[in-house]
Amino acid sequence: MNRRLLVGLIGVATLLGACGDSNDVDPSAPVTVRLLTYEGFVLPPSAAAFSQSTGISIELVTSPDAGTLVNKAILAAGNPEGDVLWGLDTTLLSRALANDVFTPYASNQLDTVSDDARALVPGHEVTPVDTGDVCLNVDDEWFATAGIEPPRSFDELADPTYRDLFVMPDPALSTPGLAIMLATVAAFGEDGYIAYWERLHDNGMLVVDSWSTAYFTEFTAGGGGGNRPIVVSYASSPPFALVAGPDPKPTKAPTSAVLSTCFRQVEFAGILRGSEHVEAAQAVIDLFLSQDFQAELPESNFVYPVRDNIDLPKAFASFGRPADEPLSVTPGDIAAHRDEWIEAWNAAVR
Amino acid sequence: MERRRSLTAALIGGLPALFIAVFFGWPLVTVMRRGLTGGALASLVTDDRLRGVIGFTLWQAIASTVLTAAIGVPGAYALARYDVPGRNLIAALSSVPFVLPTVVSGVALLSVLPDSWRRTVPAVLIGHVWVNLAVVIRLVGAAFERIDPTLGDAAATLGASGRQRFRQVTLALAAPAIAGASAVVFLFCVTSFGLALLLGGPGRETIEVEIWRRTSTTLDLATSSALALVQFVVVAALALVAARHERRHLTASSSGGAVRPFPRQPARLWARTVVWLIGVVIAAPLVALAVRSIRVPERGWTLATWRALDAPGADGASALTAIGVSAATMSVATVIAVGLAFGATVAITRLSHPKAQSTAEVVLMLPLGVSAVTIGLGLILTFNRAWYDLRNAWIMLPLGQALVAMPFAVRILLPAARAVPTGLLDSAATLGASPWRVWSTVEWPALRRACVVAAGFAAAVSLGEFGASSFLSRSGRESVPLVIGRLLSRPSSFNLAQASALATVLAAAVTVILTLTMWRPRRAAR
Repeated sequence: MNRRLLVGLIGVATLLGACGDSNDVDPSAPVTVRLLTYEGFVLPPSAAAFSQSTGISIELVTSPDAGTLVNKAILAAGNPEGDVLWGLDTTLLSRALANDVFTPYASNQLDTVSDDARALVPGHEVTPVDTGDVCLNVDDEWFATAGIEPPRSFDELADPTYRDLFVMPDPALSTPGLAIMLATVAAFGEDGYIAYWERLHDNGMLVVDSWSTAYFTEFTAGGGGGNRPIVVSYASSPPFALVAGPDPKPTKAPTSAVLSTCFRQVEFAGILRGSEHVEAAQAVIDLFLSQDFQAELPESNFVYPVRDNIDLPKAFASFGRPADEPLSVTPGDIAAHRDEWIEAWNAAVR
Repeated sequence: MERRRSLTAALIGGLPALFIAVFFGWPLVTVMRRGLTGGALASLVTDDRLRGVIGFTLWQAIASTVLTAAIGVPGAYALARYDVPGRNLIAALSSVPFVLPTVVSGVALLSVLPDSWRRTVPAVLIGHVWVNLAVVIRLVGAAFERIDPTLGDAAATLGASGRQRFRQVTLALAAPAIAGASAVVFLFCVTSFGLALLLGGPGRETIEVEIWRRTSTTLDLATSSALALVQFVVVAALALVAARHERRHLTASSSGGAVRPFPRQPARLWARTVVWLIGVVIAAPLVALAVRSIRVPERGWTLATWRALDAPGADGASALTAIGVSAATMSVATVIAVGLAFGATVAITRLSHPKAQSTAEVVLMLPLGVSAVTIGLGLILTFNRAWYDLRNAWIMLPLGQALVAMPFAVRILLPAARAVPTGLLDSAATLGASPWRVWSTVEWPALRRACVVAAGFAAAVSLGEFGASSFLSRSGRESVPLVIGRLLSRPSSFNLAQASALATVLAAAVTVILTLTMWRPRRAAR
């Protein structure tokens, strides 16, 4: 009985092992481009039309978050798990470029992209595809009920009025967390940002592991029954309830972004070095920059188009506009000081 | 004769030795060389956060161990000495959390702990106690049962009070087992990963969690390697002390001869309370886990979570795919782990020098001390170029899991092999049996059962493995624990329910595998 079990186990193992690897590509079949991205990324509708007309289908392969995504790509540099990566942002850019992860490609659509974004990658290793503003978000309904004015700036947030009301993701672990910390570096300077965080720490701020925990669990308006009405999220988050929330959809956004606290992030996509479908991958990058795709990005992914002269959908134009004067730190400075800034932040808030 | 045995040992042991050198030693060296710098080592002392992590790891391990012993020792005593109704069931039940994958335990505990307890120190401690109670109940309970009742009678005759008898006879004789069990619990708590990750949170990272965070979020190899080294040193020191202790303890108890079982007394109130309380505490999270998988807060009772297991998720892969990946990986990993452990065991028992034997044994235990995360990362960083670029190969996942599971298999096989009397082998050989015949008629029958048990354990370890797998799995083909981890990282009531459903599947699979492999027919037990 026991021996039979062992033999059986080995048999099953060999069988399963033999059919474990079925990734061989049939050259006659239409091409499938594997798009590595983070969980939550949604392909806009125009991708389907693209696949129909070109025969290139796009398969999404996701990692839990952008940081993990990029680290995996770095570890797999030269022998990638897919062909194209979507989800590199300003804070991760330098690390990926230093590790030779991508094959350069200059799309002929590139001249439609705003100059600021283009200037970040003169070597065309990756292509800017969208922008996003990380800012404080407040639950207006909560503040209305409580009869308190929500904070309008970083400085006001440190006021005792907002004691125990703020939750943010850890900058060491989360991109939005890092972005908001960088926003304070831009606002208060390298010498002043730590003193500011000490004030917030004394004011009872809560640090959690990820943006999703902060927003969906701890934030009052995230649907998770949280009890903190101030959170770190995006300038484009407020329209969420209007676009993707449960029916009946409200006519006015229940939350709003504090635009004076926004940090501008550019998001990039690139062709992974070692991809076996470089031509198809280039076509996919062109798709990302196309007029339709760019126009659909706000409603599918809650980001802003990187292409100039694209009108925002109504919900975004009314409740989710980007900041007029976003805060920023250059990728070079981020690369040079990120770790020491995070370390100093850690020391200040623990 | 001796020399011939050593030669056979070299041949049979060569393969496992080569395997461990290539797939464990080399990657370990790669990680240390890539990462370990003087600066990183210095930061262990200077960096507040790292100091905090190391400090927290040690103190939570001590606290968890003390708590586990405080509950487990009275429990073990009550189970061993008193005739509490339901004692057999509760004793068996208490082992379940220990064999469950840590992710499953984490989800189960999350479903009974109040939400406000998530990401708190008490949650971590409760988790460690829940999982490790079995270690104390089993090891210490066995010691209480082994104590010769005539010793107590003798003490009573000499005028010792009940209290004196308990302290100076019972407790004194069980002390080595209590110390041994505590050492094992401490070891598990120091290297805790899945539970600490799910129940702790920022500011409550163990060394292992911090290694994983540093490597998977910022790719900070320097600090990770330094931390891995610290953990390795702590574990190795503890293992050495424990091994020495175990050897002394074994010789002391084996000289005792046959002991008649202790007569069980009718249950006192305290014994009943302790045993039943343990039963409730162990069972509650398991029941809650199953319930949570069919009860979603907004939807009430539903099987939607179970039906959704085969629906493609956000990444196009369904939870069912993950179950398939886990099953396939487990099979291959089990074969590798047991094969290696088996070769190693046969080789070790043939080494003539006792010192060589113990050295080989320690080497085989090394993967236990190296963080699983480091094993996974090391494999990725080592097999990454030219013809040995295996980063996209499916074999990497079972390979990594096999390395993690192998020490357990060795722990089961080695005692079984040692139990075969050398005299028996020698006399068989003297009587003219060929080495092959000695092997097939004397040794193999003795090892066969141990092999099945070892396979069961290896399969259970592989099914629940998280740390190494998080680096070795290919995107879209993640194993069940990784999918559970992902579901939990995006908390919604439905995700939580689906994580519970998957955790229930995993728990059932592990329980079935272990029951099948450990079950022995009654007549064989005689």
